[in-house]
Amino acid sequence: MTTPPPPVEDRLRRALATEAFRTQPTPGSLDTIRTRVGTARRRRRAAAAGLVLTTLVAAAVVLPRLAGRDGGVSTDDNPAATTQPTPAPGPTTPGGGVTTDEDALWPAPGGPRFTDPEDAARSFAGAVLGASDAEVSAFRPGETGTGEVDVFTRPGSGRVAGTLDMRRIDGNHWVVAEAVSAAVVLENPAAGATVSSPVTVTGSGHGYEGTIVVDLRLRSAPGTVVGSEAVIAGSGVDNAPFRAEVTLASSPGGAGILLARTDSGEGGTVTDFAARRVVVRSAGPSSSGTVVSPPTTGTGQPGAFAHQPLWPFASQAEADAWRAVYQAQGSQPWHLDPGQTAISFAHDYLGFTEIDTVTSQEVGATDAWIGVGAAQAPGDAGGPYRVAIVHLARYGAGADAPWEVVGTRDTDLTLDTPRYGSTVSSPIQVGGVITGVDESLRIQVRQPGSSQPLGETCCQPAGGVDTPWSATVSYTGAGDGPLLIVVSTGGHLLDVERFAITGVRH
Amino acid sequence: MTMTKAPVDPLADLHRQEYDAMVRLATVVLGDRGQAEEVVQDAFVRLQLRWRGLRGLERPPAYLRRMVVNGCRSQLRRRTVRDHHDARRTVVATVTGPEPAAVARDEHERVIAALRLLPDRQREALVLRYYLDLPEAEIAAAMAVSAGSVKTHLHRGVAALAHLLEDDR
Repeated sequence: MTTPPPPVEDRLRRALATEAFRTQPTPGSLDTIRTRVGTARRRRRAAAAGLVLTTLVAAAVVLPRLAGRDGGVSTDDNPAATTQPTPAPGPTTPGGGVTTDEDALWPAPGGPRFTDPEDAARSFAGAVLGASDAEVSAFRPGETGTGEVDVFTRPGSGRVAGTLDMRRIDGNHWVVAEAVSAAVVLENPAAGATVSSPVTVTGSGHGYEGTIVVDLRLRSAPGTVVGSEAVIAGSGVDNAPFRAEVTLASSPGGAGILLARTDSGEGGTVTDFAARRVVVRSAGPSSSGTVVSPPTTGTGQPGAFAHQPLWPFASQAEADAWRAVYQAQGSQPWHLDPGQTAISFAHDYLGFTEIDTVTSQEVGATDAWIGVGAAQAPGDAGGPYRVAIVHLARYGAGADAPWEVVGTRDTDLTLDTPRYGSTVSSPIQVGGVITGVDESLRIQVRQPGSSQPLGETCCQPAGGVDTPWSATVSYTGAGDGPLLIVVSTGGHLLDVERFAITGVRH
Repeated sequence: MTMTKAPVDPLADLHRQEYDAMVRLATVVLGDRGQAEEVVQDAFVRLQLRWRGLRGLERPPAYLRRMVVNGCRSQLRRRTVRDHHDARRTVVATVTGPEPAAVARDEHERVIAALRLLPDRQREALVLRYYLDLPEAEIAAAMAVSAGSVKTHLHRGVAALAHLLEDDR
């Protein structure tokens, strides 16, 4: 006896659910949408400004003639009034007022000159963003002599990291007047403002783990950062305000490029950015010392750790102590291996014992993203099964600085609340977004140095497509310092099929 | 544990609630995730611009669905025109066609491959009904057709799908 097939409607419903689950939209789409909305609005404003101006000019030309015809005072005696109207100023949009190369964000006077705005955009991406192979969009012309070019995060991504406001300065050459994005918004100082050390920079933004790096460089030497500070803004999808105090090293002064950008959590990409021109007053040597090289991290002190340290070291002192022992005795060399560190974190510290395989590696000079999971999940025909991508950062400078777990790169299961780097007390309201079926969430609060969780809640059912989740978890016995919050789910193929972490302070 | 989230701004809320589902819907209709994302992002941008930050709009998801369905139709029309001028390509060159359907590895792939062989309107109606679980009135609004037409498209679509899957066995 054979079982009749289920109704076609049921088969279709199941197939569509499976197909949907396999379709993963590109991260960062909200920023792309916001940038495109901002671009369209600026273009509309520019068009409206142009229309008003045209109307005013026309009125200035026509009304006196009408007045003369009506017997009023004729201006025909003054040909300039009718035949040579005042040239139209640039629109009052960002980047407005740039009429010479001295006013430009990029390039510097005497530098390369570009008759093609897309070439100017590529030059900016290479010289200022350090992305010589960046993909840029086709030029979108606006009013006469203006337009925009997008810079994408990476070739083929389709995701805009920033939009360059372009100006034609002498009828033939194009310059970058300003750079804007939805994820990083600069408020002060204003474009063209004169600044001196320390420079207070305010704005709002959001990015990977909330980190925004603000730096200042001279336009004549865009590869050299004369001051930098990493600050924490929003870590979810919404902008949060930031304020940076950027101390400048000795510099001769002159036109400067103020650049703010996010830490994407991905190596080798252009991150969301905004930039504007400022004028830097000549400055002597500062108390913080010498010119630093990008990317600089820290909270006001060049070289300080920009992330929330989570595991295995609770502080720079602990990391330095291991380093001294390692240099003397060669002990615990696994701290120099980001893959081993990530596996130890998941398998040993978190106790996710099925995680024993590095499924992917992306290792840069200062950051690494390690996929961790199982060699194969029971019942899954595919290859290695990835549970999470762990973000690690070098705790200190140099090739023998140990790797520190600082976060995870999340997709199906996110942990957005509380904000990365924020200060909390028990009980904590935690939350994020999940995509999955029949999930069961477990949330733990841990503190580096303590092998057992300080608090835990389990096992709330959840699921759906990008469905928000939230929970309250209490903890006891925490000392001052970093706390690690872990959310995990599983039970289908493995006990833990996804986990995400965030770092806060008690 | 509760399944709640504090409101943020209308665009972020709508994006959180609808973006991925719309991309998945458009991907099934178009068979191309990249094009699907373009269509959905276009819809969000136009909605945001037209409705002053979505605040003047009573039911953004319904408008969004309508715009996404329209965007998919425009894409399919462009694809048809393009393919008309390029005989080497088929109408659904970037998606699973009859041949891959024959070798599809599992039930889900067989069903999706068969779905993509249906006429556009039938496919739209089936996806809106069996993926988004929309009632007929909302499907009619999204497709800009009458409720009666929706019934017809659903009925014919299910029958055609059953026939294709029967042949595939």
